[in-house]
Amino acid sequence: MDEEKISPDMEVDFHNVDGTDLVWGWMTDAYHPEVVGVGNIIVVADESALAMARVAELVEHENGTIVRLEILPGRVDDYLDVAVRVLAGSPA
Amino acid sequence: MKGGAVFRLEDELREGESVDGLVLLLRGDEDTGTKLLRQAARLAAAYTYRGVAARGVSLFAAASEDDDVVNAVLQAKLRTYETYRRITGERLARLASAVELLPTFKDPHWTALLPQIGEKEALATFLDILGPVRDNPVYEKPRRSRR
Repeated sequence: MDEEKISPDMEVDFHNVDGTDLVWGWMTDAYHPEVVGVGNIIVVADESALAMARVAELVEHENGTIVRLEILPGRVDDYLDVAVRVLAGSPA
Repeated sequence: MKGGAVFRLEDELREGESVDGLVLLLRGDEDTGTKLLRQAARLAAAYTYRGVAARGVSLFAAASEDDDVVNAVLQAKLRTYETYRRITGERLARLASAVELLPTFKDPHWTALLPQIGEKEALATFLDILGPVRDNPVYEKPRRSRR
């Protein structure tokens, strides 16, 4: 069986942390801008590095929209495992 | 061009900190010139410094080379990267002479501001002084990789 792969919603650089202590990026780096709304949970990536994130804030800037992101704990795998488990209705 | 704020990096400087107090800087992942330029472009689109676009690269400081101290910074800021680099000692001094190191945003964030003249040389120095790639001890390897 082919290995499952994750398609991120947005590219970020996890080094980009501003005065809010949140990671920030540009909406233009989103593959799916329609899902990058305040409060939404998305998958962000920096090349091979992946994380779940909550969209905390959208800030209008002269050069576009800045997306502030709260990086959530754990791996993306952990969240997908929960989703798979609860959809299957199994506690294991 | 859209309406909205223009941000000044001067407004994000932390008072009371200087490069003289730096012991160790950390970067996650394995940098390339392309990656550093991409980050510099993202910052430059958002911030100005001294009236011009701020082309810079982010790093995180650690107060000592003690593994517990370094690991705490890795856990807080760089846990998503499988590898990282340490910049300290003579290499840190070389970096400080090639770029302007600014204590920006919230501790432990620093910005390596690339010079307007000689950016290519500064980037080459940056890549040269990064030092060996180290395994990130707080990294949790995912089972699924990105597409």
